[in-house]
Amino acid sequence: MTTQKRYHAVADTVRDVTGDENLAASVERHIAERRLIMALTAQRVKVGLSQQEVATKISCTQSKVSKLESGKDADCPLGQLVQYAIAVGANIRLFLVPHGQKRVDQVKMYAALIQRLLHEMVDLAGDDLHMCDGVQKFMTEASYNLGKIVEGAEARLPTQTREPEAEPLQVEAQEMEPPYHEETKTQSRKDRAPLPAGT
Amino acid sequence: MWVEQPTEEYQRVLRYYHRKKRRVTEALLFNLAKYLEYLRLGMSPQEAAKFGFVHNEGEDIYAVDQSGGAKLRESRLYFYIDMEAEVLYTLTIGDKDEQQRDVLACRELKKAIRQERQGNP
Repeated sequence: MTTQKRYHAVADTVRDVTGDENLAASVERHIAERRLIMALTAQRVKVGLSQQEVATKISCTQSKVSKLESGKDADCPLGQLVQYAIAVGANIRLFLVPHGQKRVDQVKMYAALIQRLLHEMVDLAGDDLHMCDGVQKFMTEASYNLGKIVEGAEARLPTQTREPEAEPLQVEAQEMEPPYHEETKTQSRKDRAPLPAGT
Repeated sequence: MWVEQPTEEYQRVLRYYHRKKRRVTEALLFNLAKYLEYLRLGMSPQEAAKFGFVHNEGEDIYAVDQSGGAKLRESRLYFYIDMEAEVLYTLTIGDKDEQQRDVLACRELKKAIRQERQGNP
């Protein structure tokens, strides 16, 4: 009835079933070219706004919103996307990354970002014991959940390729740099231990 | 995370459409990929079905059409949504004028999938 094979992308199914690499690449490109606009559209639907309501908020016509939602990211001026994002209660964050960045380096980049945010939370908590307690609880949960995320992905690997004792993810100082520069708004405490190198 | 699981019927029909109706197939696959992406972005199947290119055929069966491609024959790519397992089962593809027959066939496929899942969870 069904094949037992599951696919994470429609393009992978196409590749496997038809063997047509061009068609698979075309499907992948179609999504890649619309990723930001699709995320914004999904946000609009999630907050329950109609195209007309967004149009009113950003002072344009419903047909313009419709056109934006059916277009490609690159065809839309950044200012319009920012306006749309604000209208649907979101902010756009841009990441500048090297062209062709490997997935391993992407994971390291996000790990660096998580590390930085966690240290900012500690700084924000300061000497407030109540906040410190909350941050401590959150860290325990985050540690467990992040471990589960990695375990979940690893579990999908074929059994024979799994290492019994995997090397820990080494995030080197240079790679720990967050993907963009921004002013840290938190207050630093002189008496706190310094952050690890690269944060 | 949402995944696609094709039925044998879908694979057979996809190969046929790919050979005979390349442009329609491409348009249908674009819309299927968009729908799957919307599910991954956290939309419910019902919310994602509000877009013009998706049609709710009842009983958790949905179809995407070929819209977006210029002047293409009206066609449907049918799928069944298993919310609990986050699996989108692709069922078949058909022309719009065979919609009624295809929807009935999809309901049978859905029953078979559910039985298969109960026997092999």
